Amino acid sequence: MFNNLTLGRSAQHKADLPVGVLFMVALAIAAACLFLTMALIDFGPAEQPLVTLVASHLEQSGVENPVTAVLLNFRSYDTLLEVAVLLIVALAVMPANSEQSKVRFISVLVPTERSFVLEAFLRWLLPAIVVTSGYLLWTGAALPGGAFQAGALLAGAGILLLLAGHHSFNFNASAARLLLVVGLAVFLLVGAAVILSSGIALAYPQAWAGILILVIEVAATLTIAAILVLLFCALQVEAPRANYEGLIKEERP
Amino acid sequence: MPLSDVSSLLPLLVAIPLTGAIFSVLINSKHGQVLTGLLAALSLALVIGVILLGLPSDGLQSTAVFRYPIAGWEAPLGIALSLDGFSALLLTLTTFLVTVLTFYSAYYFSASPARVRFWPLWWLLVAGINALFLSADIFNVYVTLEIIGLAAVALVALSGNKAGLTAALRYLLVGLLGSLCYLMAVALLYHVYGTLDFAQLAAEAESNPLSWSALVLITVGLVLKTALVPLHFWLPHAHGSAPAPVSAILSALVVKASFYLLVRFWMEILAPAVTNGALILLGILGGLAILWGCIQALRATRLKLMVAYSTVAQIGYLFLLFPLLMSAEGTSAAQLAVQHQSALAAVSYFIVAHACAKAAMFIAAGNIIHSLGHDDIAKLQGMAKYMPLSLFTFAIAGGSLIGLPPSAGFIAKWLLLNVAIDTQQWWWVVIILTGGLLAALAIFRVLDLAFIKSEQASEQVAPAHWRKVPVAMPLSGLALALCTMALGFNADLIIDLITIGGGE
Repeated sequence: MFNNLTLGRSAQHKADLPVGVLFMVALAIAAACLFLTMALIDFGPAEQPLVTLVASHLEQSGVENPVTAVLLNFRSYDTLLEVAVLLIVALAVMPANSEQSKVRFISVLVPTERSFVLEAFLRWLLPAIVVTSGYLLWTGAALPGGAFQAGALLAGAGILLLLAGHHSFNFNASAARLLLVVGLAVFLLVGAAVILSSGIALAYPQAWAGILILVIEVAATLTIAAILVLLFCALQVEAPRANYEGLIKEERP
Repeated sequence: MPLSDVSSLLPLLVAIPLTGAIFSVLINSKHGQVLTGLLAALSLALVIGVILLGLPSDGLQSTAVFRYPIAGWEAPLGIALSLDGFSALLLTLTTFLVTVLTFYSAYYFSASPARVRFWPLWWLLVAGINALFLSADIFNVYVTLEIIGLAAVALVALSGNKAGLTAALRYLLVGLLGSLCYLMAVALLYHVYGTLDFAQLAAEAESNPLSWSALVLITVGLVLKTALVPLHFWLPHAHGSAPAPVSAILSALVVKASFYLLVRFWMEILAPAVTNGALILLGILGGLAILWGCIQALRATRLKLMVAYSTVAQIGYLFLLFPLLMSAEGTSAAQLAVQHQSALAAVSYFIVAHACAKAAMFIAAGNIIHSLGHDDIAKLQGMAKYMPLSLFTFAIAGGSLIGLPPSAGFIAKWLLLNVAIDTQQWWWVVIILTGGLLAALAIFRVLDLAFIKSEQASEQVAPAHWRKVPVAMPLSGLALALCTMALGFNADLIIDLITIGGGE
């Protein structure tokens, strides 16, 4: 929604601080940095008890990659809230047009300008990206990888699809809205459902931990990919759809 | 592991608003979203009611802090939620205000296209606020700060006009800077102490250069988010140009959230690193904020801007907590604990009083804008005839902000004055009284115009662009304003709640 915002030159000048104040601020920050560096050097290297703690509990986490174990088991609550942060970002940039919710999520159009190289390339590339993204998701249990990486890759596929010009996405469609929240919803559902077996929210039963983490990650991957594509669509200077103007007219009621 | 009943309810306070957000994205019809909102608000109220009933009633004896290890991992490996008297009070306040404001927003946004995005963002913001008050982990707090900051920015930007977007963008940048300062401090603390848990940090923290640096970074970051003078520059525009329910929650709760964290860090987590000089410095900034906010409120030409500047002043009062924590020479630990307790009680009371009054004021100002299409103070002359309820609400809430008896604002100031005199810091008394006087000038300027002066031009003609508001809108404001009065008569409820878990 900030696309419509262009600060006038006068507005930028007004915000400038006097040189003296800027100088003082710079001096203060430099002094603070110096102090901090000295203090850190004085303190020396610190032992990290948590690293050994994570390693010793890794077997109970259901995955072998310590990063995934921390993100989706030991500190899964943080990740749950991070998914909520992503949803906020999606909502902030989403073009608000409730009339469009009847339009389908993906519509096929005739591109104004065809790029045959890209089209031919995409026929090979898109399936490969989808498979690679699935691999990244799966391998996250043991090696670096996981929902964020897989989602980013999948979003890349979506953006390439958009660039080819044959499709356009409408994020007000109900299918798209489902995609935007499915990550958070599945995370919450799993977190609540495990109360039945362990009595504590988000505490997976050890035997099921691996599969539950995978379920959460699949849903999160879809949401992350959808949100990244939405960001790409929303930040395009020339919006693909004509009635983008609707945003500016939202005055106070 | 056995969990008491109260503890097992804690995750619901975060889960309910998140579920509300999910449903209001999925069901984006008008009635669907309102229904979701009301259901979520009701269930939140129910949960907090059960929690309050489950809290021990014998305030002073119990030092119980309720903990809930999420995912079953104990700190430092996992994250815990915790609840003591201070956070219980703020959670109750949040639930109460959110319920009233949800009701109000159902009418406020009924005809606006912004509704589709407002409801999910609203519930995400509530989830963030609740999560922050519950959190017992300094990194988890960072995540909740992000939720609150981003959701608040998106909500400010809902107004859609240029002023609103500019304010939102500035708010975003300020919020990010604050969060980054905080994050750096988290990294430092983790480096030094190897844990992120509040209680474990509090047990291990000592006074060394890295603790000082962490405390300074946290304070700068959170003061930026709380908008204490001189870092308040973003607040009046952000709060002044947002839609009314958003302004209300921003002033009533969002700035209090970062203040709550400051209190946690200064009084508990990094208490050994705190020095008297630093406490006085925060107090002086608070004093400056009171005077500066009041003067700017006097000069403001728009009603909402005036209310927003009054928030700047009221935040100043909150920071008077810090100098009142100072230990004089020769005070025993027990005396100091009592002094901390009474200072915290006074400030918590202030938070509650200000939150109700300020939300009521923003609702009143929102109604005025809704009716007239503007909030130019000069053009409000004689308007009491057309909007008696809204202006009455404004008057009562204003009375509480000034600190007139029998409002909650009066009790809050009275408690604060008591502590100031007990600790022999009489100069704060002067500032508190001057602030009250200046606030009175600002409020009575509006009331005088609206109620006493007769309408300039012709009589009996409604102003141009006049729109009648649904009666529920002024009524929800009035309910909040009357609450500030009711709280004035029931001060012991809040003070008892604060003492649970020591607040130490």
